Amino acid sequence: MRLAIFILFSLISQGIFAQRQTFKNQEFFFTVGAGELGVEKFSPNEHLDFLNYVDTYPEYADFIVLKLGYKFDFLTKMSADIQLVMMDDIIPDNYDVSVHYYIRPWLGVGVGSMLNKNWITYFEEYHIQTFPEYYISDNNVRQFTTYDLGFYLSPAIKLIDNEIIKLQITCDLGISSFMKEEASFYYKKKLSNERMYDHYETKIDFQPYIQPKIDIRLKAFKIKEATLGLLLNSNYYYSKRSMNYFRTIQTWTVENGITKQVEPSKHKYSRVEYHMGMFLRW
Amino acid sequence: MKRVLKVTLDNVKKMKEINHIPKVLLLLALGFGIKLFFSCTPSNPDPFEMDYNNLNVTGIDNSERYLAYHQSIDTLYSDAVALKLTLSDTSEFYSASFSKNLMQTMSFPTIRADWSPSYIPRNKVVEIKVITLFDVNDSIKAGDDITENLLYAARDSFDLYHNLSQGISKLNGIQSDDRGSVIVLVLKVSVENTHAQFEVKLTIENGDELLSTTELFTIIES
Repeated sequence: MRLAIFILFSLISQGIFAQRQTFKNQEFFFTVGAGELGVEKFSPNEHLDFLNYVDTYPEYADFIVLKLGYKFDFLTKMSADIQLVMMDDIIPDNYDVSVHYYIRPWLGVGVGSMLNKNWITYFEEYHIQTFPEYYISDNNVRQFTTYDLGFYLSPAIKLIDNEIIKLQITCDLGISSFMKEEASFYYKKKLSNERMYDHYETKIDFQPYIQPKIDIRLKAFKIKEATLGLLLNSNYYYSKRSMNYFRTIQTWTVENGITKQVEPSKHKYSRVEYHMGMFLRW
Repeated sequence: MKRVLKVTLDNVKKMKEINHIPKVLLLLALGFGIKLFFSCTPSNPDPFEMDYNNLNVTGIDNSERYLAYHQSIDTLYSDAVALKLTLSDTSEFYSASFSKNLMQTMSFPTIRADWSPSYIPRNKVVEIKVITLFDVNDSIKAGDDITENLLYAARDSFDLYHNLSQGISKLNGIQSDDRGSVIVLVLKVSVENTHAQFEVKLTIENGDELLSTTELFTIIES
């Protein structure tokens, strides 16, 4: 994560201080937006399904997103777009970086990478519901953060590209996986000596996704060579996802452990985001 | 004449009072010196050696979320039979605690506050054996050795249980503050009887054996 942020800042710094001559149409932008997750939920079954605990309050907007970006053209037909993404916690630990090659002035193809943060919360509920005859060691709410790392191909079409308005549509086709996370529970059977330890370790498993994006830039006014304008964009992520994991259950003592691999059913997983902001191009 | 005599007596009295001041100062200095001496005496970091000579076994409740470590009971749930073994050295109880109290009294409290003795058994425990005096179920009858069905529960922990060897290691390790050690053993099997009673035998390295029999427990179904 730190490496990714370091690389992004390095690129931005390079863009500002070192490559003035090479980079064209440089642009800083920031946007503020909201996002809504839509995750299909299943009834609790034999094994814990972490994705049942992603979107805990579906009736509310799930997150506020602040994006800081730097965009520039280089090598005549290439364009780079670097975005640092912050969620409610204002930690820049999400990103979306892409590079496009424009075969025609209106048609390009690119590659990119993105990292999105997800919170898995209240999954202790599964154990409370499924094992009512057991105590959990404490009553704390369980939560962990899992990062979804993706790599994509991204065809792009510039539908409108003039001095006043620029409208681009891209469609990211990629694969992504939740990064490794761990969670564990201690149980104690009611009216019994029996104790149990349940350990979960999620595994990296890349699954395909699609993410169309629309991006509109409206020129507001120009001061010398700098253009200030309004930026609107939106994206819709869709995939069928599962968070697979290894589960180790130990009963009575640590010697009595059984590990099994669990692959829960795939959920329809979507995320829609709307952003609005400003850009400064020079 | 009477007046002169009174003035003279007053002067003598004052002189006597004045003469007490150095004595008081000397006593205070002496007290300070003694306290300083004991405060600067390095505490013995080595644990005191002790000899386990007493074993007491009681039943404790393990039916709830946490082990009720400090409360002995005579009624146990059939799936939650837990025994608390308290080993202690009663032979030299006073000498060590006297030494500790003396050092604390004779030292400046801020300097000596962290001084607390620790103890280690001179002769180690080599074996724990538990015999049931009542039938436990169809396969474990009165008089059978049930040691294999017992596990060691670490204190103040929600962790899993450990084998009995770790409980023995705990007994043989350095004990802080108290001349004794306590471990809890839990029974893995369910007691299918209305009563239970156990006999616990500890074998010490030097060949001594400590024996204790629990009280008669009433068993209620879990």
